[in-house]
Amino acid sequence: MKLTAQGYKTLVSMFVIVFFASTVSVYRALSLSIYIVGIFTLLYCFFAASSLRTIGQNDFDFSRHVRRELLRRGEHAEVRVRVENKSGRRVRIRVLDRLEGLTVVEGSVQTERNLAPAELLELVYTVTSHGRGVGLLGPLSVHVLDDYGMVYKEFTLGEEVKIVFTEHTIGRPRLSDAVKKVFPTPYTGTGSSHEYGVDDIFREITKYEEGQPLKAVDWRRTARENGELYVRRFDKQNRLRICLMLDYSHSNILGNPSLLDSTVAAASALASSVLERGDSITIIVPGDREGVAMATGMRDYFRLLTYLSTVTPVSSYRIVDYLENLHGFDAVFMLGRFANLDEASLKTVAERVRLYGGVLYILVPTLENVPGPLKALEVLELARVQRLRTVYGHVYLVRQTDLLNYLVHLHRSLRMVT
Amino acid sequence: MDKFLRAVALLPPIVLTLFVLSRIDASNSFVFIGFFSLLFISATDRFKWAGIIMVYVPAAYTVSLLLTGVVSPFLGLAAGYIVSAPAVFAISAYRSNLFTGLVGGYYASYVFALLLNNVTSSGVVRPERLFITIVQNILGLFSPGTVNITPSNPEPELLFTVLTALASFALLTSFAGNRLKRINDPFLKTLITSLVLMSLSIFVGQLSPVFTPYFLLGSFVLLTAALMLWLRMSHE
Repeated sequence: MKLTAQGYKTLVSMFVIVFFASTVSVYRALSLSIYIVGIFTLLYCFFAASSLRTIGQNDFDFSRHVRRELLRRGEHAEVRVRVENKSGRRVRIRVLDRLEGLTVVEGSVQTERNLAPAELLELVYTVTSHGRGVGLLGPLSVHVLDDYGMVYKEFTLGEEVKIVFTEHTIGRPRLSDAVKKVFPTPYTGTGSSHEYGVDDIFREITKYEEGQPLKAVDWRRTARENGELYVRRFDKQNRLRICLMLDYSHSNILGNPSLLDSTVAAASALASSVLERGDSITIIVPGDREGVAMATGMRDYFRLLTYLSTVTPVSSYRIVDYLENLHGFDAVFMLGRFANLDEASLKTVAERVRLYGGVLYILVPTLENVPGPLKALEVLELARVQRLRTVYGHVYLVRQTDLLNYLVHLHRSLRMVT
Repeated sequence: MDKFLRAVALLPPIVLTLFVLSRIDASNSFVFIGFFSLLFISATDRFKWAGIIMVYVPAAYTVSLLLTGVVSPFLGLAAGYIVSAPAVFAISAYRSNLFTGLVGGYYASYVFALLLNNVTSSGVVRPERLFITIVQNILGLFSPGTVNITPSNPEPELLFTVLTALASFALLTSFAGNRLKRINDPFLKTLITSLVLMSLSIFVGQLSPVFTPYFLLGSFVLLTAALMLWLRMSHE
């Protein structure tokens, strides 16, 4: 139980008045009159606070509905909060929904009302976020006040709700544009894996050959062919294991939208595309505390996006410290500027990926519209990429808007090979 | 109902002011001009313009007379302003949205009205003398023993005791403000408890010399401390 601001003001003011009535004794009846009012306000706080003690969380039914919990940056989410008075008595409540990382666009997150028994209080508002990340809603802070707003009891209702704001790109990538720029692309590595095979795809029915499993026999066809055994043959559908190594270093916070945002957007969209086709994807962020997020199906996509949205830019890292993480992938895409990547490190990374049986692509995004002072930087970046290419061929300088097209094209091409 | 209660609560200082006005020597009409001009200014917007004119015109006129050596109108106007003070405090208390504003206004108005009442009942009824005596009385607050500001006439004291009791009850009930129709349990409990407590205090106080303003102030301080402590502990 606490005193409200009004309660504090009233008590302090009464204290001052009583003090004056005691020190400047003009008329005894007047002093008594002031004392009785002073005593009254104090006693009222006592009794009001004790009457609120019986009210608790269980006296209210609570529900919060968020229309969408996965949004693009700048999109709006409508939130409806309902609180029903089950205490069986009239109460005055003030509710405040806590927000973190969110901005209210419409409506209000707080209100104060008298609630009759079984009456419903509804709070409707719309929130958004101007950056990617996870916004937190709730829990709802409830203040149950006495009728005259002197004291209140505080508790919370509901749990914390997360709203994820991503850089996820909506719309189909223009494959034709990408093909013009990257085709033909040489591939290395196996690109297939038996241990990750998923559903088999029917290919043909052939005559039975010795050694083939009996479960493969097509009994219906066999019956039609007077007892000659026929078997159904299937093609193995291999799952590609894609690894995205993202450079979250500060050197990528360049331009508007930044190279980092473009990289994250492309990675999110690629992840969706990869998972829809049954492949698995692992995202590695060197320098991040968590560092690795893996998704093997669409059910993991939300988690992957949450991870991508919550990673904060890192200061520095050594790429060679993450070599062990590159094991077991058919393709490794390194996205970002990797400004600290020197020729020796690149050679080590490329050799290790090849050793693990995968193929490595390094896509270095560049700004779409380069303002004057940054022209020099672009020239330097081109020189750096050309220098890296002397060590390893698959280092590409890609416009930030074409990044997704490149990635999707590379993924599709890899699937065709397997 | 709330307005009625507020009016009842402010009845003692208003009645006292009327008593003061009835006693004042009416030969100097500037005292009434001063009284009503301040009253109009603190009244509703409709009368405010009239009040402003009534303040500036007579003020300029009396100052011009003062410069020519005629002092009486100036002192009469000043006395009128002073006499109107309890009424002005009462009006501001009546219009206050806060409970403490009402109580504070009531107290200030009542103290000032008592001061004026004592001065006029002791025979100082000429506006010129009234102004000077009031100034002396206010200064006398800082040098006790020089001026006696307790009511000298025993007859109105009984009347004002009754009025003050009524006002006290009205003050307590006006705590509920506009929610008077839906008085809750804590309010009723408090009302009854505080009335009983005060009755007991007065009863004991009449029999015992322990009952002094300092005793009451001490009780109030203890109660406040107890409330703070209890609220803090119950929160934890």
